[in-house]
Amino acid sequence: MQKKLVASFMQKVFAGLRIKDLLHIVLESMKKRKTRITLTVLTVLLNVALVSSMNIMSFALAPSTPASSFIPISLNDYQLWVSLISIVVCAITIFNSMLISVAERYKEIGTMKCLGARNALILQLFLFESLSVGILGGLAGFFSSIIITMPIMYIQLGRLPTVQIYLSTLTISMSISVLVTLVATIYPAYYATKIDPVEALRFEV
Amino acid sequence: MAYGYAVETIDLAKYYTLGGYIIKALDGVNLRVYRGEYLSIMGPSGSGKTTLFNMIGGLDKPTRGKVYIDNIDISKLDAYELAWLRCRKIGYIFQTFNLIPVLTALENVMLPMIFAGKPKNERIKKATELLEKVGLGDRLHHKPTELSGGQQQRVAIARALANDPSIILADEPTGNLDLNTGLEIIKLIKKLNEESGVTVFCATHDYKIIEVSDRIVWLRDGKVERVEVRGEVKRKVAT
Repeated sequence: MQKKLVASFMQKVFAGLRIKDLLHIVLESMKKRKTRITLTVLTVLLNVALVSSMNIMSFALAPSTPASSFIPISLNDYQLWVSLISIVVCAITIFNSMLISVAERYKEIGTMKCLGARNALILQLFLFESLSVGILGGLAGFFSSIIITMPIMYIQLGRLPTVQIYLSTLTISMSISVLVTLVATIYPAYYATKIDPVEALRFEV
Repeated sequence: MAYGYAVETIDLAKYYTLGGYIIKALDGVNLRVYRGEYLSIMGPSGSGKTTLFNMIGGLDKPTRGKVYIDNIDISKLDAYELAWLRCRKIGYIFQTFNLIPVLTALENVMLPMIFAGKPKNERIKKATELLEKVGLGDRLHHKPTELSGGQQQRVAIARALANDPSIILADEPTGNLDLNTGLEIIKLIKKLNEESGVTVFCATHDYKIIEVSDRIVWLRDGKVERVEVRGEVKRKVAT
């Protein structure tokens, strides 16, 4: 009985959800808004690059290798505060960018709702968009932090960070970028689901 | 009681409060639309055509009265069921086409089928068929910006038919088109109406549409002024 209920609930939420089709729509609309998406990705990139290069450096400079340490972060208070501020700035930028994205597609969302799109689908559209921005920015930020820190480490210390350090830094940067972008998109995506199709169809650009 | 009609409205009313005044956008509209009928709603702007459309499409809640679509009382449906109804039972054609600009013609037609959860090959087959039917077989992979107004409206018509709806709601389908293109679109809608038996519910200012309608409903100040069958109108024009 309970299983059936859960199944019917899942069906209600995910019915008609085809990730491939959704991703296609998301990618096409991202392609059309190249400039703004690039800027947003750049913001994530800078944020992640800052945090992860600080992390790599402080790991490498630490007297003992923290290979066995459970928490893969080794920032002091000052660095932590700087990271936090950069994360907040990044979140605000993404928030703003996603709100613009929703406003731009006001009529489009109204049309989709009119054609029978459920709120869940509209939500997914925007979450997928921010997720792709997060993953792109996170990866790009991580690799740029490697490129930045490698020569500095080599010249100053004469050695390179271990693979362990890289892996832990990758975990940190990806989780930060994905988490920040998703959290910053919750409100814009919710706002998109609340758009009234009657209002949206009357709206002239 | 509501048997055999594609759309039935009973004492439908919608009031807005604007600056302390009550505006009666619709005031007790009783309409019965037969299956397979081509019905036109004529009336000056502000006569409540669009409001009537939004009520029938389940986009807006009436202040009073009921709407039945295929004998389903749509005021009893929740948001999820309304989305289902809009997806499967109703096809929309807008004055401003409202295609999704980032998708190609084929993908635009496939969109309602994605919402309905149809498998991919079935979607592509159906969408291609529909686009060929509206005369855009060679424009499948063009984006809306690469199409003319008339062609965009054709894509919108194909999209409206994607899930084999029982009614098509067309809100001034020729409003943004020139005379000849408008005429082509009207003829196309009529052809589809005759071929597939889909009920067409068309709001318009356009007198060309009278030529093809089975019945014309004249709306004024939110009330049905008169209902005419096509033959009568023709006689009037002739004399």
